[in-house]
Amino acid sequence: MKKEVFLAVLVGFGLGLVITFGIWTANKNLKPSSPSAAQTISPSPAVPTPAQNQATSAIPLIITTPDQDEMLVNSNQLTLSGKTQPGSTVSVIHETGQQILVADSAGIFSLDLTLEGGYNRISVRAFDTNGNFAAKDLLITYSSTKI
Amino acid sequence: MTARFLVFPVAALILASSVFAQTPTTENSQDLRDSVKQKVEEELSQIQQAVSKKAFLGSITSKNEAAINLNTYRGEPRQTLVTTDTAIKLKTGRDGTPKDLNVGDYLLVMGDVDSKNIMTAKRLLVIPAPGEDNRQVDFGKVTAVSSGSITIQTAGNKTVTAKLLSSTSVSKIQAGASVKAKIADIQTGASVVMITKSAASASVTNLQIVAAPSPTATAAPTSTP
Repeated sequence: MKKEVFLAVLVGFGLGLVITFGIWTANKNLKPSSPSAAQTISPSPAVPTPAQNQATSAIPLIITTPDQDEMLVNSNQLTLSGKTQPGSTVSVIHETGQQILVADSAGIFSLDLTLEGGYNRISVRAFDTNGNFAAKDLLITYSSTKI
Repeated sequence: MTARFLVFPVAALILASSVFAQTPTTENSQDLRDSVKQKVEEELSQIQQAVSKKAFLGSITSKNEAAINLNTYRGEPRQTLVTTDTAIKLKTGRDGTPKDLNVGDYLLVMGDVDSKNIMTAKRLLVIPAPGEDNRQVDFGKVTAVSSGSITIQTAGNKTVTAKLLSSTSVSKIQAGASVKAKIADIQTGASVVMITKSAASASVTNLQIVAAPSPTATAAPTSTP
């Protein structure tokens, strides 16, 4: 009889340990990763947006809108805006024309474009006064068909 | 009787250990809430990415019954899944099936893209291959300019000569803004950005004077960018 009780206590203790370990493991996995790990996967400022596929690092060039490359839009009006070195000259070559503009004192530039139906290849280049430049290419597709 | 002895201690120990393990401190509760919140946000972000609508432009490099691999016009690989819901339009304008698509065909594919950038095609158009864009942009110093042509030397020592047309748009930077200018405003030594269109002979479509010519390298007017 005493042996059975001792066995029951032992089994209960073992089960309790297993359950405790399970809960501890679950808590540990649910906790957010450490700050140092988060920092290592944070995007580098040199590659600021997912919308760009080509860039030189001589001067910065960020396209803020549209915020993604290969976007599908249902309006033929598009505002292209971004940020580069203050005072840089920015050229934009697109399907329906080309423009040269200048970034303001904060490096911000903006241009309204009328898109053609179908694909629109947009090429943006920024030059500083020394000829250093950065380049971004975008593909924006305009379709009035509901996708 | 033996069973009772077995059940009570086992149940008591299980309950006691579980309660002990689950009794969280306030800090632990907050951590758990934060982690759950973070997970939910990550899932939402993935869902949002999954429903983003995109379009791929490229030629077919390979295909099977369910998927098409593309090489985009910029030389990047893309994968798109074709389903029975995919509307396929052939070059002739008639509706097609995946069997009508061949390696080398140029496509504009529209659909939903998942977090791995794999598209489920909703609409697929077979189109002619896009033509080469024969426009180029150069930055350089003017080495010669007349009413009919301009020559610049780029930073890479490339010489670009192009015709100036009456339609050439000329601008200059004044007080930080781009203002209309005349070809006569362009002087030898000035830094310019110009967009040229290559044809039999290149012609300038857009020209912007970046900085007024400076006699010495040390002169750095504050009004120029």
